[in-house]
Amino acid sequence: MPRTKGKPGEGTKTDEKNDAKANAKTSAKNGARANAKTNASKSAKPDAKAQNAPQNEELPREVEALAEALVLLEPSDVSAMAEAHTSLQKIVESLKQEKQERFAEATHAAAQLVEKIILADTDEPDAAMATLLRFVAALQAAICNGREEAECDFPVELMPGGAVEQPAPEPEPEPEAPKAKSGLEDSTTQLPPAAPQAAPVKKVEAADARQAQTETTGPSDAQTALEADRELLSEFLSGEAQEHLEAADMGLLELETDPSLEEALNAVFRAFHTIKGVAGFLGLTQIGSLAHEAENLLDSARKGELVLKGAAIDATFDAVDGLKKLITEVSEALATGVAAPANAAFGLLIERIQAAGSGEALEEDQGEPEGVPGRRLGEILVESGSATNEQVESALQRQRESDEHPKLGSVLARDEKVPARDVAHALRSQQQASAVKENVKVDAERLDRLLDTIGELVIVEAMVTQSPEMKGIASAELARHLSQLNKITRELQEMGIPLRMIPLRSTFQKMARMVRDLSKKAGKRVEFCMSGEDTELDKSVVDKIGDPLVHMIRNAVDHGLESDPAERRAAGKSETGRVELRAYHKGGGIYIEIEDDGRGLNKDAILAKARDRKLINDGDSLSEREIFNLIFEPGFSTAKKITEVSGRGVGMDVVRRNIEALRGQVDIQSKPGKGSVFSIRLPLTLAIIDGMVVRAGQERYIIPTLSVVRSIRPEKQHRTQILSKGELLSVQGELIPLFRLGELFGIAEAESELTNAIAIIVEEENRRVAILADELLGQQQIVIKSLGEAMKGIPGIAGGAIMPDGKVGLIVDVSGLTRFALTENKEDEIDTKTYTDQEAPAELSAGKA
Amino acid sequence: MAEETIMAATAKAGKYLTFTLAEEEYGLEILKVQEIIGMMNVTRVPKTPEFVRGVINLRGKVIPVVDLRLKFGLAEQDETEKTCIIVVQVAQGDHRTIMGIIVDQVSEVMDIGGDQIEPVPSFGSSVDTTFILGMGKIGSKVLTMLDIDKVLSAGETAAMRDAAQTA
Repeated sequence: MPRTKGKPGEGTKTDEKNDAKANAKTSAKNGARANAKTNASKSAKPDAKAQNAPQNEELPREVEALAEALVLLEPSDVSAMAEAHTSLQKIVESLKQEKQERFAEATHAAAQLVEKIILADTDEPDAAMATLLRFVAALQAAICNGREEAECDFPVELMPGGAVEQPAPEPEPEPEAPKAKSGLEDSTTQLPPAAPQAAPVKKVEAADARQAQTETTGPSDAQTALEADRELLSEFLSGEAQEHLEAADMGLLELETDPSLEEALNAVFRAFHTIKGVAGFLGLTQIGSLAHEAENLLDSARKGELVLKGAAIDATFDAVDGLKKLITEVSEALATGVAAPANAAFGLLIERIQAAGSGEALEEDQGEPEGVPGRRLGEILVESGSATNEQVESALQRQRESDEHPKLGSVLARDEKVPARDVAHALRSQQQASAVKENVKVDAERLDRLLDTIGELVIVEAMVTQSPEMKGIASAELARHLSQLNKITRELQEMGIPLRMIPLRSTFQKMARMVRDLSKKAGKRVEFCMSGEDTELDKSVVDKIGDPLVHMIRNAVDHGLESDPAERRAAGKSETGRVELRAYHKGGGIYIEIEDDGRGLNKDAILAKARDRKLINDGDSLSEREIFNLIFEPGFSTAKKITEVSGRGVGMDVVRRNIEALRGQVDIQSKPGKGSVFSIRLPLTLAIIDGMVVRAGQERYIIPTLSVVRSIRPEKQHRTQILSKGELLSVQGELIPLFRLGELFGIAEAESELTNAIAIIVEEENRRVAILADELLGQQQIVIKSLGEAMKGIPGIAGGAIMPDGKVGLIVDVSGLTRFALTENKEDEIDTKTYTDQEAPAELSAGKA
Repeated sequence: MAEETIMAATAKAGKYLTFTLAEEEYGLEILKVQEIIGMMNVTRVPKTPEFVRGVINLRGKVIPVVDLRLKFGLAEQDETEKTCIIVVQVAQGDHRTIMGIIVDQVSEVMDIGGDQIEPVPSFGSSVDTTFILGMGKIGSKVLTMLDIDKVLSAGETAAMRDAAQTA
């Protein structure tokens, strides 16, 4: 409510301002305005009478609805503003039907005002909003309550003839426009007598013509153009319009391959919307209305009422072509001074677009090229005569040379000037054979249930096929059926995995936004680059990766980049800092990397801090990687003072924990003065992994196959004992630490004789360790299950899995295990106090707190 | 004071599942119980307190299982035919988790009225009685009524949390 209360006040302020401005210009003008006002109210009287009985019941309802919507409207809420705009346009149409030309024109002006607010084309959006509110309130009074115009508080600047502060020329071509052109002065435009009703006969004719135009084609834009502001026009025609149309073409091409691409859809919508706005501003009605129809069509696609394919996308392509043609016509008219006559085809085109929008697909007017599966796009285009062999060749060449790997279609359309719609047609015929793409939105919960059930199926399938009883049955048929069952289960599982995959795009975009805010706050100039935002990850991973990314990027901007430009210059770097966020596939995982070109990590500071915190011993010699990894230690993050010296580290233990909870790893590379790279490796999917099942004593553990390098049967001479630091195993000349699963996990009856055991070499965080187990039981796909809230984060255990025999097997968290093993060794060295298994973790956490 | 005690006792009145541990009778609010299953194969989980026996597969769900004898410091006992797992829903903070507790045997479900409940006797500070709701007196039998949320959250879940923190 405060909004409604506040607005009229603001409105008055604007009026005063307007008056003041007008006064400053010429007092005579002010007089003219006052005249105009009285004229207007007088002449409006007969109209107002007619209003008392609006024939169209839709009209008052629409006005009421708009008035209600406006109360809560924020100028920054573009979609709501767009709705208001649509609503205003509907009112214009209704008013025209009611022959309320005057109100129609005013409402049209109001719609344009909304447009300006949307496009941020006004200095005072709040003032504009106030005007709008006042107008709609007045309209409500006039239309719904049947008041006369003079009784309603119409904002004069919106009323035809009362236009004082309206920077735009009248939306409709005025017969006086040529005059305005000749004497660009403001005063000239103000001079003509105000209300259309009071205008001389000439003007009435113009109004008739205008009415006719809405029905048929009316004067062509080329004719209008000759009468409009040339400077603005040529700017629009030569640059802006072309740009937008090109963007629309590109977007449409993308949509052609996948109608569900929201980004592309929005891009096309924006293109049409802007063209419409500017065309309206310049009085190019034909261009405006064509763009408007296309916009409507796209809007229903955006709302999901329509899928942009077939006739609908054709119509949109037609709209782009139509606009191109109109713009060429106007440009020519400007150049030659001769206006091309109105084109009769224009009306037909509008009809087609409207029909497509309402879902009545018109008959395909041309024979679609037959879709033959596996044909190349280039071939199809050459065959249909849309492109020449040379064009295709050169496009292919360009495609190969470019780093961005653009689609052939885009290259052809952009560089080779092959009509985009022809490319789209070719694309479609190429796809036709490979089934029509349709999308179904599914509840995430349902999807999860499906995947859970698939997981269960995988387990049960393994139980059945591997049960000793089944194996006892010697039947070829049964074996065949079982292998079929196995195959189908596997297929089902493979189908299930991508269902939950979503791109990282929105997460990345949030980061971009954050960097912008951060750089402003910190007063640093930061260039932020992203790549691979289309990389897909399991939804739950995408949901949870945001926080760690925020942390790391914030660190990169706050601490990584130097705050003093001089420091950067001295280091031979550009003053603008650079932070790059990229994602890509490699091996079986997804990598997300954050790179900055700041000062890098300070090894000495980290080491000093770590010694201070007793995380390492004085004599320890650590590799570079081990030093960097220290910043992830829990004890490290609490001391802010020192970590700021080192440049990083605030809350990094949380970052690592979050990433490891996603079964990911994080790795740091850094060069002093050059910058750092934080690299996160994530598994493709959270739910199902390939696992190596090992036995230790009577217990079974699963090691993710992804981490396993190889397994060997160790020999006595390969083992080295290094004081209390533990055992080392020499594998092909490389010495790697050896951990016994039995000892680490306190397993009774685990094999202690090295030569009877098996060593599984695993690699985590680029570090190899050997895990000693009793026996390798085999490899199998397993469904990861959480051990529940209470058992979360047990060192060395990543989760559980149901084994084929129905029991639970535990999945080894390799990096957690090695870290845990190393900590245990260290604990022993520092205090020589031996902890029991239960005490150790509690003690450590106490140390952290 | 007396009135308060009565009020508290009435609040605790209701249906209880009773079970035995080393000859003693215990009661558990029936609303907390999800099901009772026979003893099954428990997978030991390393680096957990001794009273955590491990995890089981409850129809595809992995749930932790606590041995109540060990939790209460009673002597360990070999499984009998009557040994079973009571699956309970435990409130932990603002969310609920499912856990199993191993008991010697379940006895019956009984209604315990407010007048049958005595307040927890004090044993001095050395004995933690926070997880006891009260003592039920039914005929000649005395029943220790357990607040299972506290039994399972006070000790072991906290210990496990600590372990988790260090991981």
